[in-house]
Amino acid sequence: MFSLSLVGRRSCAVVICLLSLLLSAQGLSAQTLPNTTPGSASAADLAKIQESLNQMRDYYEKRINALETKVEKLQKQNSQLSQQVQTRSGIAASATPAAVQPLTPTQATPPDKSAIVALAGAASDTVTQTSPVEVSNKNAAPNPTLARGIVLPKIGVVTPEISLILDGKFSSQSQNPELPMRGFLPSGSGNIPRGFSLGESELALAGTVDNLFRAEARFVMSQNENGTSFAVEEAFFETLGLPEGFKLKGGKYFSEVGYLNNKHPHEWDFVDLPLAYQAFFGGQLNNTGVQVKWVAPLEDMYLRFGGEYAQGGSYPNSNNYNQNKPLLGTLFAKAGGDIGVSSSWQGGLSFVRASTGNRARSSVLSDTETFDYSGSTNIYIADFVYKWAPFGNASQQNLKLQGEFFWNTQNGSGVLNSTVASGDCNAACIGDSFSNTQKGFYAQAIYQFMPKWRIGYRYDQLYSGSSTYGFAPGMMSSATLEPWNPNRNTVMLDWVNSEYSMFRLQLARDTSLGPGLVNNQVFLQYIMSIGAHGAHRY
Amino acid sequence: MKSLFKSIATLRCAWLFSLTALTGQNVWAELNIFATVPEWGALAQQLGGDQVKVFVATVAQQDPHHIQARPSLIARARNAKLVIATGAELEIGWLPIVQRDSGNRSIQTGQPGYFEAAQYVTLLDIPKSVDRSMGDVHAEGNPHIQTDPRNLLPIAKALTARLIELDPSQAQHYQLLLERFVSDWEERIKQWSLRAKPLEGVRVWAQHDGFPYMNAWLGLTQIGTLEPRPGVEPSIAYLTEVLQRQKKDPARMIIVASYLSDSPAKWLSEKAAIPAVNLPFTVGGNTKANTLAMLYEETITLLLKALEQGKGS
Repeated sequence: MFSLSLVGRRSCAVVICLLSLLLSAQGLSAQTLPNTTPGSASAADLAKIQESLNQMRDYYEKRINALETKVEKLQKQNSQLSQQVQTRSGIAASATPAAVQPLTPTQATPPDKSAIVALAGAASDTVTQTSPVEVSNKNAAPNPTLARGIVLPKIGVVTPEISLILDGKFSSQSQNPELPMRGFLPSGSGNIPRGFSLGESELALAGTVDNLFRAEARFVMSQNENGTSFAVEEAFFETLGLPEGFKLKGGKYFSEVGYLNNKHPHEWDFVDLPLAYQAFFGGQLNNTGVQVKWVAPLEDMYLRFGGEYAQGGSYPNSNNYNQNKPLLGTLFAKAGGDIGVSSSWQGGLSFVRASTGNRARSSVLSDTETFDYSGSTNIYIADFVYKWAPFGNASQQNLKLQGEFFWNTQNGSGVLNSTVASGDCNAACIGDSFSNTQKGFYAQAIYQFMPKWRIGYRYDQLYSGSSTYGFAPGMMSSATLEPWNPNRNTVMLDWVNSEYSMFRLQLARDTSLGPGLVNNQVFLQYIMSIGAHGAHRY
Repeated sequence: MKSLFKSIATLRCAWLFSLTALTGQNVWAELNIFATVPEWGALAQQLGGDQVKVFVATVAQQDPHHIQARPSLIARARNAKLVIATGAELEIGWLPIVQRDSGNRSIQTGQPGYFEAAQYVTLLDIPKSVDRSMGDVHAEGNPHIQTDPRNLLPIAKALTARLIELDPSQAQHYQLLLERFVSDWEERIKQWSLRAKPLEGVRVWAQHDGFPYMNAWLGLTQIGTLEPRPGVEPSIAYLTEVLQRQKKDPARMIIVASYLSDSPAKWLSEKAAIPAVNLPFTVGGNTKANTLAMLYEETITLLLKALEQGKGS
């Protein structure tokens, strides 16, 4: 193995040497030529170049020979060392031997190693493996422990990061949370049931695919009444190697519009999503498609633009399965930066366009009425986040202010289906075409007042607009779509034992179910995570 | 299609020009370096001189384990030609996001534009197994390698090789700065070890297990940590246990890195009547430790001072 790689390394090094000679020759001529008139290098210049090339070749040959003897020597040392280590297990744990001799071969190798890297990048891996440091590593920890936590059988570097996040709740509410939200088209947004329930149990796998791609998948098991439903929450690849700040993502993923939209439930600061997300996205905007992002090459400011083009199979779209034309498009821009050492901020503007295409989206308004909506939805979002911590050290105290504003414009027409003769509509009634603008926002503050403890407050407000979706007043027997401007006040207190475990108490007063239906809520929540834990976004 | 690409290219050129004009400087003149922590920033500046432009992602008051992938970091990483990290999982909670979101292919792990200092030194305290109940343990070993100045020699040599690889036209410049650094550093190490002689064998408590390399360098004997597990704040009950141990088997001082809240160390310092030393830990860790050399100079000065204090009481 070693002899083979040695031969390979030698030829490789020689090739790269020649390449670098060529390159440096070019560089040389480029440097020398401007002294004379272009294109008329004198014979003396050429001779000089020739001479310096010869010198360089000699130098590199000598260097390669020296390095090779060194590598052979190291291999011998290496095998001796690994034998020693095998006989004396646990050497790595003892503090003294390595650090006391800073200039032993171990420590002296790296510069040479990187010299080889400079000469022949491809060969560096093999050299790295021959370093005694790695050997003691391997012997001290026979089971490679990956990314904190799980001990996995050795599958080398292809082992993906695996993590499992568990989320459970207890809730007591003064109203039935399954009642529809008043004033807004039913979005299918899930509510937290009363009593004990399991939230999303999330199994995530992520890793680099090769030098150009990275892939990530998140599977979610969640309680569905008395059963369990299994869903693919995200499954996407993204590029690592596009030039000029571009990045491409494909598959199923959380859209990057807004601020909270691509945050996973365990990253939320409250048990539930803001009302605006529930009303306008039916939760979080998550779809299958492609995304392009670009980061501007600015020094002091973060500026990113992006867009997504997706199939659009759920709210605010309709079912768009097996159709040629994707019906969900988004555009977003984000900017951000620091204010001194203690504060940082990010703001964004987003646009979402969704259409139901030629398939109406049907929603249940009441036991006797359903409503089929056809049309388009344009959503504009402005979001802002500000974070503060003394000297940027968030471990003792920190503050986070966050808000998002939504403008939701709907243009379309509806068909009301009634199973009983009620109001003015009997069977199927076709409404006038309509357009309606709805608004909503939330603003929240989270303050960590001492290590492990955070308190938070959130205010939610929605404005339904005045449309009854093209039907005259009284035509619909159910009150679901009648105009209503609900709000919600939420406070929470959470205790974070480590990055991996959290308990939360949340109290809320929510008027979104309609006039006279104030829902007073108490939630208790835990979040536990095991396995690798990926870094969190800002 | 071709014309489209052409127009895009022209647009980009025009835009870059306007950008250059706007900022009044050539954005690509120097080698842009993104250092995760101040010590590598200082080292890169020393080894790169005027050919590099160094951005340091954190300040000394911040806990390098817990940094947020702030927008400004992504912006800086976008333009970096070289990211210098400690490695050994120190930056695992934030750097991967910054690398990925930067859209900068040359600083991805495995590329020449990504440099991990910990790869060039022998790591200590490599755990036999890792379990989260042990706290914030790093599977690859203790990442606080900068607390031993001898570690900087192999790292500097490797870093210079990397600078030359990325910016070969300035090879001579980098080589010269490295030679200067190495001869100066070797001399300083000699002087430091002379100065630090009295510290040999001195028994110490560490609040966080951040100093195994410094202990090995100065011959300090660390008898334990105030944190029950790495990264976990000690409770009063646990500190009381520590105090009992201190009474039975005393240490001369308590060492704390300046980025940590030193209240546990102060508590023990009062109860046990031994000095608590706030060590700078990195460049900028206190007002005097404003260069790499001063970091170690100041560390020894503070330790010696604490030793004197301990004798006095």
